[in-house]
Amino acid sequence: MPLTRLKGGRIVDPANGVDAVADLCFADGRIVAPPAGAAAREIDCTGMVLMAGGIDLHTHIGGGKVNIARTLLPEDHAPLHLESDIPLRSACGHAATPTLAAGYRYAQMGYTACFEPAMLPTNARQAHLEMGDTPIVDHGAYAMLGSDDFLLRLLAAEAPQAKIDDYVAWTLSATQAMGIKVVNPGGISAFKFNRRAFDLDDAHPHYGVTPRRILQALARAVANLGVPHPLHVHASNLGAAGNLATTLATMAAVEGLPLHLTHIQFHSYGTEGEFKFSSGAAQIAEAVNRLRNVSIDIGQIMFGQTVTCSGDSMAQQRNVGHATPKKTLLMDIECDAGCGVVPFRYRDQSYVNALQWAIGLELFLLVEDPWRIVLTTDHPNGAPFTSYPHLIRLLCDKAFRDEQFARLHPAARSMSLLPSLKREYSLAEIAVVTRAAPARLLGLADRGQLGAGAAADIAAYREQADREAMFAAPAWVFKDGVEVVREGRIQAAPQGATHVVRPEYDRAIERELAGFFGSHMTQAFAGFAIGDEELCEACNHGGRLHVHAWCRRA
Amino acid sequence: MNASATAPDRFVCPFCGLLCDDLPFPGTSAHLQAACPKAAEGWSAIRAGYAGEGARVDGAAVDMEVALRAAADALARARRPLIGGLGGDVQMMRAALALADRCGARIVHAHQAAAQRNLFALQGRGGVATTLAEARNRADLVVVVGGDVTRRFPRLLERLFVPAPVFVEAAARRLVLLGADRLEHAPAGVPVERIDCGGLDLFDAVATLRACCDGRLAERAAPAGFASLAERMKSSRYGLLLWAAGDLDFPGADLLVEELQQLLLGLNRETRWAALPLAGSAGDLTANAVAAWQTGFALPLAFAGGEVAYDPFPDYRDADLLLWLAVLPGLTFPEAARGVPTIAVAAPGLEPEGARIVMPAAVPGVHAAGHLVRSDGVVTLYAPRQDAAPLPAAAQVLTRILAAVETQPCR
Ligand code: SF4
Ligand SMILES: [Zn+2]
Repeated sequence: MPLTRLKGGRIVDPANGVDAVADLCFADGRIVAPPAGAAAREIDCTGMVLMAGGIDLHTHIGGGKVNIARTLLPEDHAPLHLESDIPLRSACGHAATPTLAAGYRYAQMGYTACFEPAMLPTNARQAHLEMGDTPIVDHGAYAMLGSDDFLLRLLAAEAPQAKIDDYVAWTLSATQAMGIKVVNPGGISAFKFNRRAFDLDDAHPHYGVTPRRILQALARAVANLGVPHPLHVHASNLGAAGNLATTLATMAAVEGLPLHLTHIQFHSYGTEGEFKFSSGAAQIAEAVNRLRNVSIDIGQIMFGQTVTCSGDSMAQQRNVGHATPKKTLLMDIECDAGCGVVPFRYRDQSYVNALQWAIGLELFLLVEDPWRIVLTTDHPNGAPFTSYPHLIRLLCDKAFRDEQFARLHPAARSMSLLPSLKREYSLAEIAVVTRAAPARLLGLADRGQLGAGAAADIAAYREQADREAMFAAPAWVFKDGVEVVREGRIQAAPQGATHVVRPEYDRAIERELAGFFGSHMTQAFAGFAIGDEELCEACNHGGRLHVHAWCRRA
Repeated sequence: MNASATAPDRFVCPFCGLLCDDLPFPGTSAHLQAACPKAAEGWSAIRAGYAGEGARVDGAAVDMEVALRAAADALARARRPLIGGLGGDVQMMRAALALADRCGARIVHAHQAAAQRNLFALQGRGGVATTLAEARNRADLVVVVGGDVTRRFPRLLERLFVPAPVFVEAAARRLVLLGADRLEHAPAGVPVERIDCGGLDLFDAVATLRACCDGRLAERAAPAGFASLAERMKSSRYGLLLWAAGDLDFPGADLLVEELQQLLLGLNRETRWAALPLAGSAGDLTANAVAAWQTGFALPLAFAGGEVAYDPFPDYRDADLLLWLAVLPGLTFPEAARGVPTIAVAAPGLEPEGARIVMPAAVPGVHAAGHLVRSDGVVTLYAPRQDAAPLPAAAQVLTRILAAVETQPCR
């Protein structure tokens, strides 16, 4: 590909400490240092802000529970009339976004990579097939462990950590995953034994192990294997008033190992006030500020209709009565995990919802280090990802935030310290929480930044005081150097790459797994792992595979 | 065709939604007859080891290229095309949706009516579901509702009951029939009881059972045995409801499924119960899953003018062209479609009668590798290729038709 020069834009590239007006050049899909002389293509970017392509490290874009959510809510899928200069596939959707719409809409917002956070190993094939049908964006997934019978058996038998490491490494390889997630550690399994609540030090009704032990074993394995992304944790007691204590205890439980606490907004609740539901944002932010091993994403809620789809069947069983519209699907899954899908409408006149909204923003504003915080709505659980531009404006614009705050349920207003938080995110901070930090937390060395050699995933936003308008429709988006969006109109829909990690492991674990498949499962072990050629087929034969290399640490 | 996916020692049976992968590749139908009649039936419907004739147009053998062009011409000219059958793998369905989108076609699975009974209930009130391994390892009380589920899924109970369960005593497990008289393929060693509905139709029987479970009904108001069944259900630790939507062939069956799901949601307030809702088969779950992830909607769909919409009750008689996709056996050709000009992409042996254009394609799991979604909707299996027949995958045929359509002037 010949050289392209983006001329005269303001490059906001915090990973390289750059915030300056300069030319940005790329060729063959990579950023290059601007050479002297003319480029084959020059694009005037005067008045624009250039950032690396956005990276969503927690968005439910593919896999069984998302597909259940889509199927459950035909009323949610309005036709989308996407602006485009090429023939696109017909798309529709809103909350439980179908794959085609998700890829197109993410690209139109300047996002170029998305990571599915909850891929069940037994459902990994479907997740990859769905991600393969998500155009334009790169993708990857975290394999979900922690309520799977094989791990719980290992822990109950007090297996050595090395064996747990082998099992985790095998899971990453067999399911073609990018990281490991744990959801309500042990709790999804405990729900199958009819437990309705499961706190950090509760003993599992069958295996006797505690969530604390599960967390420690998995966090240790992820660290031992050198997986770049820390253990991705959906903590115990999701959504419960008072869960703040569990969240703080979870941070302490891993004893300094890297830990990513996801959708932490849903885990930052106290029990104060008339309604016994209060903000724990200050305590949580204080702990995050203090504990350098901890990173978070927010899971901001927005008002309106959405659908919650979670692996946390136990928590979702508690929410059945809140379903709007009134339908819920709960599922136990294959010695592996479970899921619960509950449609939900967040209302600004609901005390709890209003406070949830405020808690998310309090966290955004109270956590000091933007490199350890990622902008998410836990799509679609807090809100569809299409609300990101609005969320960015809330972070950047105190006056706008105050205006929105004034509409909330009055009791919620009296319980939030949001009005006292004067902070406004700078563009550099927005670039950190939407691309540079997630790239760093995922170990994507050549993404989320615009230095020479990085992938030419670039979004050019016309600078506007209204940050919502600015981030909703970039003037240009390039994916690996290919012009995919221009003035909001799609120009190309290439197949994105799949990102995976592949730590080495002792293959002796496979013998044990084969035995487990015989005694517990309903498919042959021999056919379980997803091969590279199969993955290529899942990606419509058009994608690439990025294997993030590292060595297993001693 | 994917050579490296050939693993002759591993066979995933594509002949019903259970996708059994514990049987050897059927060299002869006789061998299979003993293991599973449905697999034997599927095996004899297709022609494995096929090396024979290629494409046909109006009964005459032609080059595949000629047939593809003729198909593309017909599709481009059609004003109301319908893509039907849809017995195939994920890749076939992806290609079928792309083609339907391009041609402004309706698209529907041949057994949609059965799948919709479960779907409408799900979309009405939701429910509680489980998967094969959980059912196998946990279920202490299994209630089969409606017809004999083993007629459509012969090895279902064998797969649930023959392996030693992990979390329950094998001897403590019970199987109760509500509605069916007997099971054709009951596993040995599991006591089967039949509850007499006392003259109630199935819907009233289930509603009565639910009322008993909720304590809303005086004992004497229910048929004999209902109250004690309700008590056993409530004291079961992990119960399982089984039905095959294909058997519930009467008006309002989706309301029965909704009632069953409400029964489950109620039971889950105190204990654990779940359903293994089985639908038709012949790839219906695979087809619906792909449609849902790409468009948001389960089938049937109507594409028109760059929009896709849910089209719950398409009428074959409205179509002026039917593209029939059948690379899995067991599809019933709809009566209403007789007389509609038909093009088929079909495995040898599965061509519909009277199709004007026939393009042969591989059976996934036999002549080509393919992804298939299992009946529980969670596990997708990659069925390896077994046989070196010179047949293209259905997806390849459809992709070539699409490419040829794209060279046609736009309608
Ligand atoms: S039960 Fe179904 S999948 Fe299993 S062998 Fe019979 S036809 Fe094949
Ligand atoms: Zn999530």
